[in-house]
Amino acid sequence: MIRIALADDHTVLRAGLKSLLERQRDFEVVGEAGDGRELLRVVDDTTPDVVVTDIGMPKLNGTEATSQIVTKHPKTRVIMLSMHSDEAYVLRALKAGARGYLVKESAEADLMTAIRTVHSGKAFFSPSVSALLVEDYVRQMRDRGVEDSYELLSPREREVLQLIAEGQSNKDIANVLGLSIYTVETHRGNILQKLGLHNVPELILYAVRKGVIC
Amino acid sequence: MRVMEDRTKIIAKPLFSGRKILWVGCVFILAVMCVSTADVIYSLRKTAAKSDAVVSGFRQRSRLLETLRTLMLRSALSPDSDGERAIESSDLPAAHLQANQILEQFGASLGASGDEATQQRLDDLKSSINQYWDSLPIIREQNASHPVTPPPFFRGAERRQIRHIARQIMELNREQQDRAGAQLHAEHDRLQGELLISSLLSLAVVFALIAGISYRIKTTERFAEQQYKDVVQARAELQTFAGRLEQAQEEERRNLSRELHDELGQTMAAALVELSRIESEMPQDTAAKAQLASVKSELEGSMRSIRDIALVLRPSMLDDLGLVPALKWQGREVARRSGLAVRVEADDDCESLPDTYRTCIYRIVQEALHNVVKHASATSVAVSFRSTNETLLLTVEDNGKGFRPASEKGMGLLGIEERVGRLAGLVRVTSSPDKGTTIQVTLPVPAVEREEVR
Repeated sequence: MIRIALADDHTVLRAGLKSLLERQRDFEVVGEAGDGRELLRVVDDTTPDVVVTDIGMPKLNGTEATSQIVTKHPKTRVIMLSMHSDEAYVLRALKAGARGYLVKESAEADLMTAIRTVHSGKAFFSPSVSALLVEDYVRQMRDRGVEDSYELLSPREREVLQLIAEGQSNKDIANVLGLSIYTVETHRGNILQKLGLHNVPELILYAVRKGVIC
Repeated sequence: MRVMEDRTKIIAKPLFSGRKILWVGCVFILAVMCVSTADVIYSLRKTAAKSDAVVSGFRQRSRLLETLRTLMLRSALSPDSDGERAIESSDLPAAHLQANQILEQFGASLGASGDEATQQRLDDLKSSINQYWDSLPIIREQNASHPVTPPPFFRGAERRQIRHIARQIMELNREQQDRAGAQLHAEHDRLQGELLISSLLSLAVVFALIAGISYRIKTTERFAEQQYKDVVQARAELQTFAGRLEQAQEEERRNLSRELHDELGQTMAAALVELSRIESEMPQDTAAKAQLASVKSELEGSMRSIRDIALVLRPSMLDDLGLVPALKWQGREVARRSGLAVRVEADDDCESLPDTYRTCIYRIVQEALHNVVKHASATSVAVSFRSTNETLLLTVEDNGKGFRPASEKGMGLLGIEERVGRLAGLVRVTSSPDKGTTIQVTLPVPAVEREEVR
């Protein structure tokens, strides 16, 4: 059973999403909120597995609420609902700690998959978003005529990159690949350096752009 | 309204035309100079004539006096002892007559200039001479009766008389000379006075002219200055109005964009979710379900349109995420729509700019990229935005066909210049055919911002 909290200041949309979610047998909507502060209270009270929240909300916006939730409840996964498909918004959501990003125009179709994917520890993006990210990335690479930095990575580093982007911890990665934690950490550092990235959110975005994850 | 009031404040145009004053003054000075020159020439001629007359009168009188003296000396000599030079006793009356004639001529030569004292002296001289001449025959006779040793008394008396007359003649002559000198002197003084007066008059007119012209120049300058001020003020006001209009428009766009995006978009999203719920409750494979699916896809399309319209009106990231993400998004959008390679490089610390600056820079880049896509036939364009302590530097550089900035400036560039001008910045467009185009915008960092940085 996946326990879910829903937050959107638009009541009709929230009610619609709720009734959609409740049709799934393994889903349970444990709380609802109309603004960011209420969402924090609900999460504190119910500690849900997955939070689905709008970005623009009164009192406290979704991004700010998300970063507080993931600090306080590391096991809770957050999916952000947004009207925007641009990478700047995606990156901001990722930096805030969200692991799923859904555009509202296709929310109803992808929400179930998104919740299940995120609950399993992986990242999820609306197909239109990841398509856009990949498309932009490919164009930029072509325009600049730059050698794709992905080619700089060794096969082992590529494996590690995918596992990090999917939200696995160093320990999990070490187990999956049969390596020591230190080796995984070294790989992680090398990957960030080779790709010119600074943190995991950027790395996830990169992985989506490259089509390593979707 | 304020503009209209200020327009009426233009100061009155100067009453006299400066050129007219100048002409009148010059003509006047020329006239004064001509008149005084003519006067001087005339006076000099007159003086010369007068001095000639005085000199010739003096010479004539001197000659007459000399003749008189000679006559008297000759008369004093004895025909017996001095022979030829002495006057014969029989000729004495004739000589007397001649002496009187000489004195008459002398008197006539003095003319009107002879005053009473001179006349008196002349009369004295006349009577002295008459006396002398009357006594002359007696003296001669006495001398003849004592030919060997004439009595010293008579000789002495005779000599005294002659000496007295001679002195009288000399004095008269000297007086005449002095008088002539004084006359010439007076003439000179008069001439000098006239010259002085005419010079002073010219000088006064020149000064008046200078004063008049300086006044006129000053009035004209003040007039021009006031007009210049008015123009500057009007331009500033126009800019302020344009700026306010721009701001109002931007605000309107922001509201409309938000309205579309947040309200309409959310409602449509809710409708979509509702449709999905209905769809899932429907029995499989019915015509209604297919119809519902098509309505859903229509709705999704509409949502995308609304999102696009809202973004064109005013990209929400400009308010949500800041200038740099908005610029980068703009670059990606242009690249996506036009196939142009767009590179956007920007300092992340440009984010704390006031809204007017963010909007201005965003719109400039939008306009510049629009120009590149529409006119430049470029394959790539680079946007760079950097900030220092003092200035913000924005550069948009393309590799297109270029143009001549001096002669073919389009509306887009004018719009950019206007926006930049309102924030006291500078636009530099570098381009020439086949060399691409670079637009460089420099803006002063706003005062508040600069303080925050320090």
